[in-house]
Amino acid sequence: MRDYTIVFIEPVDLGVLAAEAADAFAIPREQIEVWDGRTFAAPVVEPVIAQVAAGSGPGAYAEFVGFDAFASHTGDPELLDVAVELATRLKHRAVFGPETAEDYRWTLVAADGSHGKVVLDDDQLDDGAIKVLGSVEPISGAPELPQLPETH
Amino acid sequence: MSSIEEASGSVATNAESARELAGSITSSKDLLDSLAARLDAIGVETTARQTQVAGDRAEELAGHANALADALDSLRQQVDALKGLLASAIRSGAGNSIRGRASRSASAAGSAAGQEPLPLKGPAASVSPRGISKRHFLGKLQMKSEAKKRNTVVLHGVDTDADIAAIWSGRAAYLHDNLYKVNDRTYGVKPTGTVYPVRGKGFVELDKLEYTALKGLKVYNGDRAAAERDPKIARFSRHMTDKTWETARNVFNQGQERA
Repeated sequence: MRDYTIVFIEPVDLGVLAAEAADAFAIPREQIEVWDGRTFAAPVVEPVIAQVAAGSGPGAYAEFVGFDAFASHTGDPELLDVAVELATRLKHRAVFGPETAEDYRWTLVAADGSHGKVVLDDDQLDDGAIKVLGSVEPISGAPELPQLPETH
Repeated sequence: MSSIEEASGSVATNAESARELAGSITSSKDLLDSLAARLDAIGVETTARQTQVAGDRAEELAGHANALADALDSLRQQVDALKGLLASAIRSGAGNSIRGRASRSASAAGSAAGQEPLPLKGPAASVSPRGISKRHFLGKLQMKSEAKKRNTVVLHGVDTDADIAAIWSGRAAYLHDNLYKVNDRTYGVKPTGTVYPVRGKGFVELDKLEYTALKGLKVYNGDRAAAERDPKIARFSRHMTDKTWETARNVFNQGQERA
């Protein structure tokens, strides 16, 4: 199953996120679910192609989620390309998780589209909270992040 | 006993002996059962009953012998874990600011163990172990546990502590980058020292939706309908299928069987 889950770690308006996603990936707006944390904000037209949702915990302000339908609709793009597109359109930072079980590093995409691997706080992640401990490579759009040793 | 290695080997030998004893007793029990059947067939009922009782007793003894063997196996794992911790302590002691005392302690411990710690490769050589995060354990899942694209869950009964001790004592195979393999299981080590399960015996890999379903089953005691009403699951109602739930249910049931 393809999984395009991108978490914004700065406040983002869900309506704007849905509109930008619709525009960026040519998705009819009514085929994007908007989950406000308790319920769907509006009726949708099947098949649903993507979802935007309120963040699921501290430090996670909003999520863009796409599965196989999104991959088919958009020609199976790279997760990084989707994240860069959305982060630069919204001008807010986003992160996405490792794509294999072997990797532990997340990827942070800054508002300017620069990106790099980062390490998250595991204890916080257990509680659904996103806290970036530092990067393992320089990210020009996030120069304040401490540099951590890379072990991978 | 001159070393922990020797102690571990001795316990393992005793466990093997206990298992052999259990096997012999079980064979005797089979013979007694067979004899009881023959006696019964020729009408010697009282003797047959006595023989049957002896057979039952033998079965009980075999059970005790097997339990002893299991206990010895557990003891061996504990000895191995202790060995790993000792090796780790020796290494961290070498870099301690109270170098003199730490070095003497390490030296004494090394002498007591009768062996030098094995050379470490990869990140284990430079960081201390911090264990595995809760979200990887079936018994510790919460609805708020972060669901990623790939999620590895540790099933009940897997001794991850012993595996971690093996990594830090150099007894795990170093694969590449930050990955190690021990007991048919692959682990990764983060720069923070946190260990994470990757794949292998006793591990299950789930995608984001399967892991989300598993969280629901765990939190709602296997009640899928109740889980589906939880907002953290309801948001994926159009994306989760019966197959998603079946996969999660299989993992959940394995946890129930082993609990």
